[in-house]
Amino acid sequence: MNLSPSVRQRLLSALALLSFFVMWELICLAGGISDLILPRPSQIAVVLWEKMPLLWPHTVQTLKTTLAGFALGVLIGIVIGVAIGSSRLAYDVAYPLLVGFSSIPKVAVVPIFVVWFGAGTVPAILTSMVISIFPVVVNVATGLASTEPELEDVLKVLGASRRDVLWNVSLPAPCPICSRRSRLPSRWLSWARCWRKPWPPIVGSAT
Amino acid sequence: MSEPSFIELSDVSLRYGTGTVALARTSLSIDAGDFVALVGPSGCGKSTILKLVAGLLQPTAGGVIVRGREQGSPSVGGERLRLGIAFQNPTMLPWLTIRENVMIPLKIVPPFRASYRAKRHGEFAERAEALLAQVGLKGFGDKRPWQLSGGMLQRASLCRALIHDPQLLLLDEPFGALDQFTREELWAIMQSLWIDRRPTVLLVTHDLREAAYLANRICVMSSRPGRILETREVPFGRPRTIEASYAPEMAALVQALRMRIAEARSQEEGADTQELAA
Repeated sequence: MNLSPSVRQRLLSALALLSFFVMWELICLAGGISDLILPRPSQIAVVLWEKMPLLWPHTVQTLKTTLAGFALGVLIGIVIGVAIGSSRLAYDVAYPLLVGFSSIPKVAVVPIFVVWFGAGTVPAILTSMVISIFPVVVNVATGLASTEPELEDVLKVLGASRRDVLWNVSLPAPCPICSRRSRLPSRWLSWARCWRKPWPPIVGSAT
Repeated sequence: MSEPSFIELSDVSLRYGTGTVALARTSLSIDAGDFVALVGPSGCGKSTILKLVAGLLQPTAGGVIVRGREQGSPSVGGERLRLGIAFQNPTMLPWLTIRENVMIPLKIVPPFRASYRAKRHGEFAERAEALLAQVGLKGFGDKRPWQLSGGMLQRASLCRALIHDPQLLLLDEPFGALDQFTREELWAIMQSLWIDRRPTVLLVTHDLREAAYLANRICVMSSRPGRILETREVPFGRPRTIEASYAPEMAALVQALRMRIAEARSQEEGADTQELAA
């Protein structure tokens, strides 16, 4: 069969995913494992389908709060990141603080939010925000602080303003998928993907 | 009344914050449309001169006048000088295609900047493709930087330096990291681009054959603190061929330059031993 490497890789990925569920199903069946201990994927699918009217509104609610928190986190994260990354001094001064904050397990902050704001939408949004804010701050600040000096010279010679450098180089640069061999054609898609993940260097153990 | 030169460095000195004196009372003038190469021992301040002319550094003393205006001074009204620059490292943005990378100056430099959004898929893209074809990168516009070899990236980097038709082109060892054959090929391309567009070029290089092949004038610099020891005209006609760069006349010029630089280096060693003795 003549398939291009990328198509073959995607097919194999799908196959691996599928065989995982098939194995799970088979092991449960063969071992006679009780539903209470580990339900089979097929049973889970049935329940999901039957209870959908009940589950759906909550799923939507969760999605909304998560997205709202994520959007807030990215927004505030970019602002703080730009502030910290715009000068070497600010970056060096703020770095230990960032490491400290980002090493706090985010789950530990949730009870505090609940005490402050009660149970409900607000603490959910805040939790999602707190999870997404640090990777964004760190990546933006690092991207700004570590723009290649020669590239910066090229842009300065062209008469680029700080904002030009920010939009064209510093903001896209923190995205690791951007800088590696991106398989995604769209820059925005890859952007969204990387901002969501807590990337190293200093946020590796955060979540 | 003699016309002032396009670039005029008069008694320029530069001392870095660390106390290192990179340049001591250097003077240099370059006419519009000229092709000047700066050669000299490593660390002699060649790149420093280039950065002064680019306005990336400010002199500690003396003046850098480019087209009648103090370089680095805030532009009062009037149109800004269009500059292009290329370094040894091509520094392409990896998330953009080669064509988009080449088009970066059009995004930033007026008057192109105002119409960038409207023309980036039309006129500007064609302009970039035409330039890419000229350097032998026809059909590579949609590739990403990591799909190209070092020599190809350096070609793209030259395109990026030229796309906005700069009046002044600054080259800091742009061919330094390439193999011999690629380098000679790029010399030929650089020469034809220069003949086509006639920007003023200041080339910093440590390759004497490169200087002799490309430049109209070669300035030999002394060791740190750098001064210009000697300026030599390169009398050969254009276009020059790569074969001509191996001809006896060219070889004699390269040899003469080599001797001059060797002399400058030995003087430096002499100075060092004197310092030690003192």
